[in-house]
Amino acid sequence: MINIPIILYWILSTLILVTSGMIIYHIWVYYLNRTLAIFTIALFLGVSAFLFLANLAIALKVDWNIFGFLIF
Amino acid sequence: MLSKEQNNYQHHFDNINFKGKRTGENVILLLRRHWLVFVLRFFPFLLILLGLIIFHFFGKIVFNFLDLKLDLNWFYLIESFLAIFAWLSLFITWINFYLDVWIITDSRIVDINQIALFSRNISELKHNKIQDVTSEVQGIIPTLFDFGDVYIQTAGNKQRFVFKQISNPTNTRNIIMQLQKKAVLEEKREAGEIMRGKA
Repeated sequence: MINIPIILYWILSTLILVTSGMIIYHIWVYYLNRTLAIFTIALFLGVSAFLFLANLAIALKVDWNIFGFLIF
Repeated sequence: MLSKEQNNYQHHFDNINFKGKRTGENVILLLRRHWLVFVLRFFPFLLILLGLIIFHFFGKIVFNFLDLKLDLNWFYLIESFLAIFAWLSLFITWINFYLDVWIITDSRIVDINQIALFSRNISELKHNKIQDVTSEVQGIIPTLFDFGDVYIQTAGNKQRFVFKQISNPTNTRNIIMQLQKKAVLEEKREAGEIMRGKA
């Protein structure tokens, strides 16, 4: 069974994780000030983890079969 | 020589590191665009955030008013994705702002141009290659907040270095001119020593 909304959800989640990785890479590789880089990464990871977990929690509650015409 | 006041600038940059920094090289100035430029770039994200908060609290009322029979969890899921993308975009904007710098050291000027993620230009210029430095402040807001551009005319391949929207452009121009004079004098002294057969 192919559920388009679930596939879309995973595509978006993967995109978020890849972009987060790219951001952390830039902050860490090109840092000008080490302390600020560590602080920035910690802030970014903290807020991102919160947002991502909240997103996951909502996704678990969602009725994925609501759009019947998008399920094959 | 740099004045005492200008030299005091230096201790702020002792812990500054960048790729290609040479041993014993001292950072004299680290310049990036004025903070107001970042605030203006940050503004759309603030609007998105505000929109999300308003939509979160009034969305239910709107749904009831329009008599839409939608699963509210879907609404929250979309809202959550928007919040994540706004957060990521904010950081990408911050990276483009923070890593887009001009570093003036005691021997050269390094221009690090962060265009986007994975798009970066680095060029450098030795002080003795500088021919002319011009600072420009145009407009009411740049005058009030004291930010503007500094143009550096060079004798090298890259004809012009431009420091865009930096704070205190006049002071930056003065510091660059002093460093250029010092470098040229040093070059002349070395040339004289070669002529005299000392080197």
